Amino acid sequence: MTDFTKESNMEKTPLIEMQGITKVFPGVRALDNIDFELLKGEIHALVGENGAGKSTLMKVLFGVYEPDAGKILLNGKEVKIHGPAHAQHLGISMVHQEIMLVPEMNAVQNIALGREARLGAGVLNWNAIYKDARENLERIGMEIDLRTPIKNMSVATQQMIEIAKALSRKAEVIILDEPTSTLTPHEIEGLFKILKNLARQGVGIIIITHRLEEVFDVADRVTVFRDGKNIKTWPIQEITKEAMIQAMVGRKIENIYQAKPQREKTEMLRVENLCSGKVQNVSFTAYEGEILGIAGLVGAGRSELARAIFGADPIDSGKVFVRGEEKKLKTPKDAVSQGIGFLPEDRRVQGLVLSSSLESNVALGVYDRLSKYSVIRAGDRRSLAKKYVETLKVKPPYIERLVRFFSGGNQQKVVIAKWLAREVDIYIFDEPTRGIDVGSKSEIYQLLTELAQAGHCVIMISSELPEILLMSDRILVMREGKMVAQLERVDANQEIVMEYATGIRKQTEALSI
Amino acid sequence: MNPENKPAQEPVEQPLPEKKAQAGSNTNWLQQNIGRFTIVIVFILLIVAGSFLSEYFLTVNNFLNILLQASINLVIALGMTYVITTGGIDLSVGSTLAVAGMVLAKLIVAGMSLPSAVLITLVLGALLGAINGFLITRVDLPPFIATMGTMSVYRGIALISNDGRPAYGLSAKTLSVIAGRVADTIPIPVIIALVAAIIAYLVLTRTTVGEYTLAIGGNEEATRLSGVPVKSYKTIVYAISGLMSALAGIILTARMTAAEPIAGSGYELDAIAATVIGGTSLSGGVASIPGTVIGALIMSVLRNILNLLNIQSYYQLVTIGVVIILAVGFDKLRKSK
Repeated sequence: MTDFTKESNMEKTPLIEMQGITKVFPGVRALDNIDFELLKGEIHALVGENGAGKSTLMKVLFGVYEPDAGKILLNGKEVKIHGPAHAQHLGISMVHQEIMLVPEMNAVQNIALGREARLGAGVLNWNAIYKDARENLERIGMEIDLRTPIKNMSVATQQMIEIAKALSRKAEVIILDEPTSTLTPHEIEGLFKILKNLARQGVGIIIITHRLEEVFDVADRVTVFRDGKNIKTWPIQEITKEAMIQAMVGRKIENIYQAKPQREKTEMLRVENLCSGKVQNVSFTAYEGEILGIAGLVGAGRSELARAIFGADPIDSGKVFVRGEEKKLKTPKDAVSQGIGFLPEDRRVQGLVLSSSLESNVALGVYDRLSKYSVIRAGDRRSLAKKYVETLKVKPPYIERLVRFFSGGNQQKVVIAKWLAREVDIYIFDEPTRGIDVGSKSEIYQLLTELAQAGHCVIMISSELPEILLMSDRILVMREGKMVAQLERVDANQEIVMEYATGIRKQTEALSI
Repeated sequence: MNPENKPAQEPVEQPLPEKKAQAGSNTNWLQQNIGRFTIVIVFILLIVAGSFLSEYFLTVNNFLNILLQASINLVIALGMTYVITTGGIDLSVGSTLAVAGMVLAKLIVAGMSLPSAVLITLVLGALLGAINGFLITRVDLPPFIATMGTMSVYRGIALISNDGRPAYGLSAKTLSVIAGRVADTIPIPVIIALVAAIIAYLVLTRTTVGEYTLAIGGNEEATRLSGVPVKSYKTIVYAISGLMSALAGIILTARMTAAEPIAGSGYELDAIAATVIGGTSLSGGVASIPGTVIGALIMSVLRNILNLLNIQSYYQLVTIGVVIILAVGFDKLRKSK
């Protein structure tokens, strides 16, 4: 994937040099004497487990944090960055994981926001505003309707608009924080093309990602972080994925998939002709002791299916059977009382009460057991939280700490702990490893495997094919709201699943087991 | 999902504020509690200022007077704290107070015993609150709109109930159980308010109602997806607010030995002010009952000082508004540093 024309033209001058950056939070040395360099026209990937310091370093560069020690050189000159606004003034822009655009406004308004061209006396110069927006969208090869409110556009398009906005601010450096976590493979390809194009124009690009494959698709160099230290920077040709993982975790990760004993076919959950929103006529059965993977592209209706089963969204028609009996699950409460637990795809928006403590979050679903006449037994709650913090190795193990201060992987463990505490036996996990680091990922895989081995029924929705293939006993594939394939693990590989997910291949026989 | 709760986007890792609290559990504790320290300081400063400005200020009688003045606002503000913690608002508290007062007076005048009349009035208050809850959770109205509507409806009912006239004919002797003083010193309304505050504190910190109130305000969707019947608990919270307003109406009626249909106008603003000064977050999820108590006291001390200084009531309005803005604004500024 190396672009040789770029190689030859690239000026190898450093755009950004960060030297000896140290940032200490109470109790944590988040960044320890870090050196980092970004060249003009380079795409530089940052990888590392959550809490390794890559986001913190980028926040220092973007002016959110003031470093305790060290200096930053921009084009060879030392600069003090006083805040995000100042960073943008200096030509450093950041595209955050959560899109930071005004949903009701169109692309042009969003690109211009805050620095609109004026005719004078506060009157907007719409001609100039449109011209600037058009130029910058052209620069990244985007053709969109300029008047549509961006809330009606896909996440991928919104991201492009964020990039155009950065360019409109004359950005020389663009930092992207996990830009691909919500994109489809096709959209990712489009994004990478744009990034490479911008790099060719001399823009320096820093991309934070958890998907290591991507690093090889897009980056010129990669820096691996661990424990707030800059482990090393490699040109991409000089490192393998395995070496990268090893540098990230400081240990080898074993492949935890093992052939499982023949399952007993005790039915736990059966769905018949379920319709809800975009979900059309979906039927499937999930059994005790298995991990059932649900694959598909983003937007295929997998989350909608899970939410409908769980009673979070209304069912238009169809039936749900729990342990062989038909149940009307109208609210999540009904589903929970039937022993179903649901880990939603976005833990911060749907899974956690960020303003509450770890123990409050773990206990949220089990107060019927932790209270009498609605008076909470605080001691029982504490020991419950402690138990799961220990089982799941949540770090740091402070049960009174607000959940918002934990890293992504540990937050996810808190959501899982909530369902373990509830002692449900049907687990629906929607993207359980999205946006979390390699170490926590493998711990979560281990846990899912253990749950299935203990006889629970685990349904795992995932957009990562390797994960689906690694974990599942059987695989369902969804496409455009329909269930298009049911596969035994032995019959599946990445290509086959992807072909079903994209509609290239079709399963003709009746889809019921 | 109710539209009133800010779209599910939590203020997650806002880059600027709170940056100091990113790590370390001790910092978090400080971060959470610093608001309380701020208002305690404001409270102490006010008392120091008061004692310099008027020699009458630091007398037992004046303090009891301040507490008595604060009691009605505090009772309403306790209910308001619950509502605001869920991310909602209750504008109908003043009207509910008036309805409660009218009903209590009419029942007693009609010959009902005081305990029964009080009980019925309290139940009625809870019902009026539950109606707010119903409109918000089942009809999906934003709390601001729902309670603005019932504010008008309940006020109308209070006026209709006696053709717009106050209800007289209550005996001060009967009502002294509520409005009198213990040992001729401590006003009973103060004791009622204190007990109510202690109960409100215990319910918030020790029971599922309190825990779910905080969770709903913090993230309604996550709470729902955890299997909590969110709509029922929100309705309970509005019922609590109605109940507290009715209690305030009972105290007010007992003190005046008459019920006025226009009683309680504007009380919602005082209650919201006490709550917010006390550090309860308008965006939900964070609550402090001790804060609300101090918030109500701050408002009362301030009014008292202005009265002692014979400052015209127009200027009082300006001063109180400025103090609310300063108290909350100072706190926000501190946090964002």
